[in-house]
Amino acid sequence: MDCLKLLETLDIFGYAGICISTEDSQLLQNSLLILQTENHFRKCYYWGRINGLQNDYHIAYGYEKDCMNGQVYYYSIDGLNWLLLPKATKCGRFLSPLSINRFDGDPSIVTNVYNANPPFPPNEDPKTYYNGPIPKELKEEDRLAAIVESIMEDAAIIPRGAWFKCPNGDVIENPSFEGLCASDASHLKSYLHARSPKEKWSTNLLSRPDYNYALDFLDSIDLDVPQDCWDMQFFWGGRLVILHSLYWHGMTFFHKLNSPHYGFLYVGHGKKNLDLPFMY
Amino acid sequence: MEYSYTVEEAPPDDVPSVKHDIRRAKKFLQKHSTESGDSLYDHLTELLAKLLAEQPRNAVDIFEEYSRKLKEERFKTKTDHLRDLYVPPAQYDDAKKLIKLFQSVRQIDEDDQERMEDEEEDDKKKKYPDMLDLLFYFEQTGVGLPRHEMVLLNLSIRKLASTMPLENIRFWGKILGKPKNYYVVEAEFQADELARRLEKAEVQTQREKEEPESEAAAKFAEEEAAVKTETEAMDEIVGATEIPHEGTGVGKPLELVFPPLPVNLWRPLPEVPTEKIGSGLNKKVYFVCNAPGLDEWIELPTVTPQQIVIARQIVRYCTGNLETPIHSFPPFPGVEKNYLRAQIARISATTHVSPIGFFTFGEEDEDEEIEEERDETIYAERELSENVHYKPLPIKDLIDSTMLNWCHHSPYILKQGRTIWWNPEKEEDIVDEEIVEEDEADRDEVKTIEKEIGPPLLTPLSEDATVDSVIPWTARQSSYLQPDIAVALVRSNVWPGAFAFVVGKRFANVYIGWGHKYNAYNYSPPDMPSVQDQYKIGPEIMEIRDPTVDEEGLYRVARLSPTEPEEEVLDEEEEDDDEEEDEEEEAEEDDV
Repeated sequence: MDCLKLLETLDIFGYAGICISTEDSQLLQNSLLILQTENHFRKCYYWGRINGLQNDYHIAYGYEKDCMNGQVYYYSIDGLNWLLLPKATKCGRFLSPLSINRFDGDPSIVTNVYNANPPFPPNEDPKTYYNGPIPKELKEEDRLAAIVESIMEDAAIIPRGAWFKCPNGDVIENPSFEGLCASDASHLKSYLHARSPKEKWSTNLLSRPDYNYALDFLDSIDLDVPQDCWDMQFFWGGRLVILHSLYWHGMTFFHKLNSPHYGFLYVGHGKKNLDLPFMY
Repeated sequence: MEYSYTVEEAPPDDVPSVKHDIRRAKKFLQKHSTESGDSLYDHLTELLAKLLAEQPRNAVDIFEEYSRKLKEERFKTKTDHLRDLYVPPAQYDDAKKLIKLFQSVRQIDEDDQERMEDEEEDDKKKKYPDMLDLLFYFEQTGVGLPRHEMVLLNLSIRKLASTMPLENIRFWGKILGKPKNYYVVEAEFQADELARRLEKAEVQTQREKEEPESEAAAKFAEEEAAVKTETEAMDEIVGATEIPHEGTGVGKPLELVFPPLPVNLWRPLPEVPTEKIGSGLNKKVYFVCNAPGLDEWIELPTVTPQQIVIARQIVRYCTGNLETPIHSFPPFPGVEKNYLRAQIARISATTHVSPIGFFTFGEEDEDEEIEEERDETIYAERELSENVHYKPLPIKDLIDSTMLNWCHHSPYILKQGRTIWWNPEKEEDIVDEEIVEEDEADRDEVKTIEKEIGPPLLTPLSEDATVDSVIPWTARQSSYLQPDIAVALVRSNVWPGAFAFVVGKRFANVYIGWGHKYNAYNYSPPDMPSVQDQYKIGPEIMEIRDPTVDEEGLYRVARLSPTEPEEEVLDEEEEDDDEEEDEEEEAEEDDV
């Protein structure tokens, strides 16, 4: 969510039951503007909030040139002082899905994640799952980084056409993006994962007959497994589309049809909903 | 007139001149394309006119885009030979319904005011919840619903209240679903409506009771008949097999003795009865709709203990359609509306919290002795009433992480699926009164089934169990900068999406979420029950290895007395008959 539009959250994300209070939105808007200037970001976004027990983590990101690969993440506990979020480590990616407890709210806390929830039976060779000596302890900051990364991987999306790949490989926000029309918006095919594509470029390109080299370079979300892991709802008589990720409860994406306004916000406890396959 | 010229005076073609070049270029631009029929000259004129009219920023960058759009437009208008059909805006259908709502509420309000004047009921005002007021506080804590929906909710609740005899109406929350959501309103029936409903329910249960009895009798008769015919058939078969033997006239007829038919020992466990409307889990009645204002409120059915018990074992998403069948294991008794109702009951029981001292037990039962007697049995049924002397707690105490200053105000649901324990033995006592003397000893043993007791009402949250290291509650204040006006917020970690706020004397609970309980280790579906045995495993149905020739020899040696070896040889045939009893029939047949 653009840090200058936080006041609109009530009327948009209210459909998912979340909003940012007026005081918070003013606080975040101003502190993020300062963060943006200090880092020479072209644009700065409020990513969302991960609820902890003692404190909540506010997450923000910005980019200088490349809006896909150049994202730099910051986190804050009070919304005033922003700290650089480290890149997700291999150990963090391995251990963070295993941790069963909630985020505590203290980034420096180290917990033994492995013993509380051993990931594989003791008689199996762990080397097949993890290359190298198995880490057991996880620092909360690393966990936060890994969770934010995997939420972005799984659940951050953009409408088709919002991002534009330049001939030199940079991905920029399409200045002439005009929004999806009503018929396009009702197909999951029109929403793309805001991450480096995992499918072959030709697969993504040929997923639609009216392909465009500059727009169809990302994976579309209709290929996600299982098929029903997105919940699409229309509001305002069909002028606003809201997409809930069912894997990450609390991840909400909105797009106002026929307008360049879109964005997402995550407010939740930072645990993936692995019960999804059983919930139909 | 120095600068004017006539075309005739223009220099001839072969002499280069600027004027001539311009004319030639213009001619070129005005050439019509053979494919589209347009000329570049017209296009550029239009394009420049459009650019000048609209004056976009960085016009040079989006020049191509403009040109493309212009062409597109031209393309559209050309093919538009049909008469214009007016397409109403997308929200038109909604608008029609909403306007009706506004009108009807206006009517209701007018009626109400008239009545108010007549009766001077001042508690009437309390009947309607004010959603906008609620929203004001919730918005500060980061929980919110869209503003316009709140207005519509307000109006539609008013309409609901005017059509149904309800009191204590409260916005319960919202259950997100795929693809539609539910808005849930909680209410209680007024006394006369409650009495009417109870009567109706009683009549129905009576009728149901009668029906199964007659049904069971019929079934029993049927079974009897079936058994009879079966045995008759058996007899016939036996008779048929006997005939040849009789014909041969060898001894008395053989009697085939069939093992008794297997008797089903399994008896269904006594069904835990549903709590009556107006008590326990069915004390409140819930109304749901998909979109306030657009849909009618639909009343949810009462919840049964079975539904609660199964709902605990499954995970589901709501679909927004109340009649969606639920395919799950263990099978859920009911459709989505029953599941929704069960989830609402579970969420309410766990997450309805209030600051301590806000509610007190009703003071109607002053009599201490009676109170003591009744205390154990109906502790959950005691009425709560708002404490008139409630003094707002300071916010510091309210957001204390020990959660000592918050308490539950809805009764705990027991394992049985009820709030008040139902004793399965009691029921049986009445039924099997005749057999009591026989199995008194047994009964004593059975009686040790422990009575389930939940924590009493108004237990502080600090007593809540921490399951799988999930700390059940988190408290926050809406603003750390202005603590004097901040709102205290409590959110449940067990049911993500359940919130309660308090500021001064104002407090409320709300749930906005997926109706999905948090489970630290994730859900794992229950194992299938093990395959049941068809028969009791015993020697008569076990397959036994045939003895080998050597073993038979050994047996013979062991059995027959070693003193009479000669006789054995002599009466070999007889001996064989005696020994090989199994092969009796075969031997007989051989004889035949």
